Amino acid sequence: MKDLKGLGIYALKRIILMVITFIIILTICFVLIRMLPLDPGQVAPGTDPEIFYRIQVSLGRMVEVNGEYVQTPIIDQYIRFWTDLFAPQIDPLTGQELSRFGYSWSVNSAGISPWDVMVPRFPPTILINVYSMVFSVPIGLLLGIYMALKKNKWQDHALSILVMVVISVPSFIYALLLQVIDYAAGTPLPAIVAGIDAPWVSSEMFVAMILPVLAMSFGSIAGYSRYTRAELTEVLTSDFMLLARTKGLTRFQATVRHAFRNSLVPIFPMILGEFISVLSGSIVIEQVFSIEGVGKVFLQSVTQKDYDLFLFVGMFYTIIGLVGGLIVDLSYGIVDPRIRMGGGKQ
Amino acid sequence: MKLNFKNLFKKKPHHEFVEFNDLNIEKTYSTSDIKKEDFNFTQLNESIHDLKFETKPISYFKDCFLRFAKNKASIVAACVIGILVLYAIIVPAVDPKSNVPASVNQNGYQDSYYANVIPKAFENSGFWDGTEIRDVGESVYKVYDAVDQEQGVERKRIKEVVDKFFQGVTAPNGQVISGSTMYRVRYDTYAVGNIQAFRISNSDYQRILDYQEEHDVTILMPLVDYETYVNVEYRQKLEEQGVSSSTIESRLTSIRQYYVNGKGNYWFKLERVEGSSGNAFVPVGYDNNALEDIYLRDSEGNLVYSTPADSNNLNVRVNYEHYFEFKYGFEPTFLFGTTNGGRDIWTRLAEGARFSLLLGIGVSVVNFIIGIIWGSIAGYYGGRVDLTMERITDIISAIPSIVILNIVNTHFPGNNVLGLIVALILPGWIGTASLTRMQFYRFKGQEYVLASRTLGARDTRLIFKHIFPNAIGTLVTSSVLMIPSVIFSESSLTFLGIINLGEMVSVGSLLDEGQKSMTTFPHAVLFPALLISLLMISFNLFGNGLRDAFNTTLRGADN
Repeated sequence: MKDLKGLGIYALKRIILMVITFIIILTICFVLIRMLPLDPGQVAPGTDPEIFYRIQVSLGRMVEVNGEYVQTPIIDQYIRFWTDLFAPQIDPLTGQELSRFGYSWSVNSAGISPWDVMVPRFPPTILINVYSMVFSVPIGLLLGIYMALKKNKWQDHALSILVMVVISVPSFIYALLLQVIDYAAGTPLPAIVAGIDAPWVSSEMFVAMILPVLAMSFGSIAGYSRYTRAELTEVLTSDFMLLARTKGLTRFQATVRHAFRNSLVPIFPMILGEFISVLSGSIVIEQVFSIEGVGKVFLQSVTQKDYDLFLFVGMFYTIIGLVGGLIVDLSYGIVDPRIRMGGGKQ
Repeated sequence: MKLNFKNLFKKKPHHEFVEFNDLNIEKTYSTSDIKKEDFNFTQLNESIHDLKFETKPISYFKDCFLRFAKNKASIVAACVIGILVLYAIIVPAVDPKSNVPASVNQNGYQDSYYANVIPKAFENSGFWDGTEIRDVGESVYKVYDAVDQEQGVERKRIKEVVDKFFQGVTAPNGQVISGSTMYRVRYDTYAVGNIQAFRISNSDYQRILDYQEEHDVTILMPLVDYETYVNVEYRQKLEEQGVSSSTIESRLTSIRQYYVNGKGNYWFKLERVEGSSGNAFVPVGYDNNALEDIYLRDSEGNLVYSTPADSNNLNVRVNYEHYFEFKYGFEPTFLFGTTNGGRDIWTRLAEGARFSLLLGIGVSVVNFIIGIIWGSIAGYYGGRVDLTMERITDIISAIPSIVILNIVNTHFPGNNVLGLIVALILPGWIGTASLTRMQFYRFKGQEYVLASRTLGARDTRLIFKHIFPNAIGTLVTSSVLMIPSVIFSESSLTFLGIINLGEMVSVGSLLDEGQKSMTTFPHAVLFPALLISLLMISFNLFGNGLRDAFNTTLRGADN
């Protein structure tokens, strides 16, 4: 119980630190982004400048001086940003509530809240990542175990070279090569996911997603197997393995009950971390296969100078990264009670 | 039983004792037996020194090198890296395709007539010779063959007919509804043929004439005049066939367009035939082997080679392959083929590799320097300094680098490379810094450091003389492993189009370019993909080999 309490205090400390880190990052990015000029011709090319300026004024980002619109000081904008976040103001003309996160102009020329842009993008991103994990985690672990058991035999050497090669090649190369092969084979599989009209969890959608899932899985499988092999070979040579064999366990029993469990201690948090990053998606894969996911939104906000959307997605990525790191760290203490997170020097 | 055991135990010492006694009895010496002459001095007038090692000492780095040399995969990887670096340095410097002067082409070599040609290394070998297998219909085959029959055409479009087959649509009952003869031919993508309506200046015309004489080749070909044929003869033919006047106009437009698409290669009369699988244009008199030319002739019936376009320029028809040699000074042979835009992949790839390598190494060096300075300060002083510095790195590492990249890019819209470098350096040094910090924590408490401190060594001496040399191997290895990750980030960003390099080229932008024509010309993607994979694999293998070599805990493990 005392351990759990220690873990709780440690978690609380880390969460407070995380919030502070996040606010600092948000502030830096906010200032840098708001320093950019707000020219409707560049930022919102499809929008009527009058509507654009009106919304900017009601959001407190611009003021009208002698018929020209100038940006308000960044410190005022910053204060307004936080008040809007918790208590959005009412648009004086339409009587509707203003968006908490500003407006995206590239997705909808009439202005749309980044929140509404993001939410429908989650299903494809999550689905592809989950499929990829379902593929890669078991295959990767099994390969790693096999390599560790055949350590320094030809099977291990051959697989190690293969893993090395697969891990080095960037995933967009797989994506491109898979598409080339797909076209060369006369397109038995759809090369683009966007055109499929089927519910998200269905067999048609699964078939359409096979290529991106494969492109994502190669690297992960190689990564898991290399990591598992390294951990397991280390555990297999420990003294307690010898003891387990001496007390009469078969090689299989000793490997599964003692070695594999212990080698999972660093592997499990790694899988957990990957699971959290499922939300952020892969920009490259989504771009190559035209998947309308989170990564594609981010790319769109970058290329089309959609600042509010960019800040929103960028901060979303930051939160994912921070939370992921925190959960991975905490899970070490939960998976293996011998590890005391945040413990002193003793 | 008890007695027996006792005897067993006692036997040995007893025996030894006896032996010892025997020795003593048999060999007894007295000092008087030793003669003085039997002794001599080892040294009398010289002092004793430690002798020099007769073998050469093995330094730390030599030891590492010896262990690195045992790792065959790393040696191969190092060789591959060496070859790629040489390729990236030599090819852009030496290859004429990379050094086309701005007076010939503004932005280096680019030729739209040779766009999307297939890689060619061995002429006429059937493999890697710029030819591909294509299935063409009968009418297209006839046109191609007729083009090849023109006087003075050396490079034939159709290298050989591999197969001739009937492709038909069959009804469910097995009856052939419609179909046509197809030719499976080996098509030479380098056969661009003769280009018409080519505008050159009078002085260039003179230079071409000189070049023709000097090199004994034919560049200038007789001009083709399809307008006269279409407007007079073909119209008359259609009228005789009783085609209505409105249909005639549309027929004339379509045949004119067909001649335009031929870019001047169709030197013969064409006519429309109605086949079983649609209408097509075929050469007049092809089947009787009597093609009729439509060359432009002057009043005396001589072939015309140029017509004035305006006061300074002439319209000509050129054999483009020879004209290409005249214009650029090298043959149109592309080892890796060309891109959609007509750029040579072999040289572009070398330039891309040069950019990627330069960026990778440069960024890694900067990251290494910042990282070791930051990490040494944090690791050596520890305590509150360390805590503060750690929080700063925490914050920097939590910012997604792509956010920084985009912010820098929008602040400096003209130069995307600056944003790329900032985005790669800003989070890049943190890994080296934390590694350095760890190494400092590891070594700074050790006895030899304490001893040196007790003797009065200053901080700088402790850091640079005692701690740092111990950590250098690990740190160098980590910065070598940083190079592939930098190249990976750079190529992803340029591939996605987030970074626009403008005139510069990287492997990522080549992949992006190749992706556009990927479905029909996969070579434009395959070669850049191959290069970047090779680069990443060999850098990773090389770095891993270095890591194992520098890892002192593994010393002697494999012996």
